[in-house]
Amino acid sequence: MAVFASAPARGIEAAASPALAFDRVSVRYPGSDRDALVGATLTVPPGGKAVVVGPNGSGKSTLLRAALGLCPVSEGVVRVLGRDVRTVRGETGVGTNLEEVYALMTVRVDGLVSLWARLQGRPDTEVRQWIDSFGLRTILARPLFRLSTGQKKLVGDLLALGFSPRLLLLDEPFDNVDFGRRRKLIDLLARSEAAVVMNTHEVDLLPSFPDWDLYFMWDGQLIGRFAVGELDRLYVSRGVRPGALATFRSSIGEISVTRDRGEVPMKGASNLDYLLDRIA
Amino acid sequence: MSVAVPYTRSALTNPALWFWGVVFMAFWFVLGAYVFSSGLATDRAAEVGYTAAWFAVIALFSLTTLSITIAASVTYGTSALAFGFRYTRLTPSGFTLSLIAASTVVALVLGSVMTAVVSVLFSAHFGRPIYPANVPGIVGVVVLAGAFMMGLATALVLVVVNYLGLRHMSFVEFLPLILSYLFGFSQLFLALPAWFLYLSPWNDMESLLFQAYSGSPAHAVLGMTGSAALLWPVSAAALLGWVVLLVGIASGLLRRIRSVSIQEGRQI
Repeated sequence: MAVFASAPARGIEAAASPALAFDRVSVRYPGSDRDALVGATLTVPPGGKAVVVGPNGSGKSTLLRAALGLCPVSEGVVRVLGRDVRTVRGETGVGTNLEEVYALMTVRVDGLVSLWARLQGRPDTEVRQWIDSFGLRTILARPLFRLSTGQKKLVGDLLALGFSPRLLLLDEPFDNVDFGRRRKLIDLLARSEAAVVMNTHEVDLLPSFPDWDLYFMWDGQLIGRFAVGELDRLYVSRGVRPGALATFRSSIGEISVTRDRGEVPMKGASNLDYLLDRIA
Repeated sequence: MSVAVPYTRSALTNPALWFWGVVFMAFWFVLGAYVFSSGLATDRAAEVGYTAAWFAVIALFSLTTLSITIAASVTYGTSALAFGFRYTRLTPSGFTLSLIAASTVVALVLGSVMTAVVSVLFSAHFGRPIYPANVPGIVGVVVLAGAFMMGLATALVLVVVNYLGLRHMSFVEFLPLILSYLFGFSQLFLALPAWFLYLSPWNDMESLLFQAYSGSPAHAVLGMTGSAALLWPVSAAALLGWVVLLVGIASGLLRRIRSVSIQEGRQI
């Protein structure tokens, strides 16, 4: 029975393509009168790492859902591993921790790991080792819906990381995860050879990823690219400033992101809301 | 078959399916054997016809509960399926075949339990063995019924998911069961035209189950020999046609599956 597709042929062109490319992508959900994502442009090369920071509801998850083909793209093109997301089929090089993609059926975590290994066509050895090393062996006998929020998040994280993906799309991977396991997860991410796009609203975590590209998400607008390493030099100011690295619209008008001078330094800010409050 | 096995296990460990598909239906068999059978002529032909009619109707309802399980599973899994077809080795046709396999196995379990319960209860009550005349026939009908329920439930849910939004999802999930009660009881009490009974998949299943259990042709009014006799090859061919049609539609809709939030279906 042809349950599985054969692995897609990957030519030289696909190998040289960005792992993820957004070209002026807008997303509008049915019944909504505004775009959840507004003309987002983003390129992540193979092995590249990017973190997207923004408050809750800013559109970070929509960015990932668009890359996964889980929401309606109203404008622009999303390309994943060189292929238009609308035509992607049977591509096993993408991992994500979005809980909704693991809800195929009600199974215990043990069965979910085995099932996912079969669907990815790869062994589950690494995921099981990590589950042990994260001290999560006891959850194997329980269904996903019986786990705590943090445990569910970790299962998604490990399933995303565990099958040698070439592109990792991680939505708030540290949410409700305790400090010790956060450190382990950061180590795993640092060792991963995959291209990574990671969403977070926790600016405090950024120093753990000093070499990563940095984007901000505000009200559906993707702002960047910056570097995490230069975060201490970035400022935000009201209005369009000459030489601004980026500008975006907010409820208090246009905001500029500048380097080395400006109204409010990003250094020490826990989130974008805090910065805008200070400017206002 | 990698998805079929966990799907089968998941369905067979679903307590709701066991309660509504087995326990609740067994309760009806108890009523049929011990309460409603008073006044029945005490000859074997009448007892066999009566037992087969109960089996046909209640087994039909039991098998239809499977469609609710399948519909709920697809409704909750739209994002997983939309993701799975893009970013895993799962294909729409493979998933369709796996779901048919799983539905068939679960239908066989339900059909076996229904056959066993009706045989034991009615034989005990009538004081002589009233066993199914054609067990392979029952197996064949149950297999077709399993595939039919999968095709119907999946097609209905995906029409709603892909094109209509989830506002009426609860109704759609229960629609096969509502229709099975409507058509199932109709053949007990109404003299519907033969062409209608052939075109209705629920009446095809009911007629075939009756014939397989009793060994005699089903009639337009199920156990009433004065009404028109139904030809089992026509019923079987019509049911097979429905299976092919619905599975084809379901498979086509799976290729365009839209990821929806289950919260979209919230009623209040």
